[in-house]
Amino acid sequence: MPLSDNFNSMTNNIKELRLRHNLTQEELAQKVGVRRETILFLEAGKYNPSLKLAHDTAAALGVTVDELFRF
Amino acid sequence: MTSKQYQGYRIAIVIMLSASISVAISLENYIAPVIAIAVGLILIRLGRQKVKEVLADERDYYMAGTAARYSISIFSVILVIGMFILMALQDKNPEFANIAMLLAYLTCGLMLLNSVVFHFLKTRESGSKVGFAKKFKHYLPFFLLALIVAIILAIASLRMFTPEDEWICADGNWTKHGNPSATRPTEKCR
Repeated sequence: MPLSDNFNSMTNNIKELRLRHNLTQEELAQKVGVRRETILFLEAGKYNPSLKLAHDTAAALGVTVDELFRF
Repeated sequence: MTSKQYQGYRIAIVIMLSASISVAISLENYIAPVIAIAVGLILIRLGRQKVKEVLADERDYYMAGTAARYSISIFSVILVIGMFILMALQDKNPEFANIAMLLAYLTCGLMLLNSVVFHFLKTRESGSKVGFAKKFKHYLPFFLLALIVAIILAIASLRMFTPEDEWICADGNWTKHGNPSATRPTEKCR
């Protein structure tokens, strides 16, 4: 479930970290078990993920949730 | 199987299912569609198991939940408006009153089902030690009482809203039931 509907309050650096790891959106999506569109929306800041997805994404990119998302 | 292949596979099954149901209904065979639907559901389930990709994730489930909430609201409002329109037009055709009552009970049924499913999920998600079954047993007497009241109201409303004074078609002849204000129907009584 989304933590909040206030999308403007949260930014993330998923795209930057994904490119640093040479991962495509499809590959990251496979790693965290979601569809590619979800990664697309996450990167654009148009979707607030569940705590589990935030944790899995952070783990896949080798950072903590705190480092991945900024409120 | 990829997700795109699965989509094609699912569309093919739906087309075949629709065709078989149409043929079965035109042949007045009403058991074949039930079997066809069951087979179709099994085939879709088997196909889905062969897909390695993620077909739906939390974002889809979140949107599905929102879509369901809007759908229930829109559908209920449409049914209630339809009910009032049919009630208003019951003078034109007495059958409209029965259809209106059916719409009203469909709306109530949908709301009730939604409420039961919501409370089931809420209980399950909350991890409460008092399970749904126990809560259901606790509320069963109230539920039965509400059901009895609903049945009494249904019978009373049918009695109230169904026109008493009308022309009835019986044995090929139009006969008066009460004192209908309308003139004898001109169409043939069958």
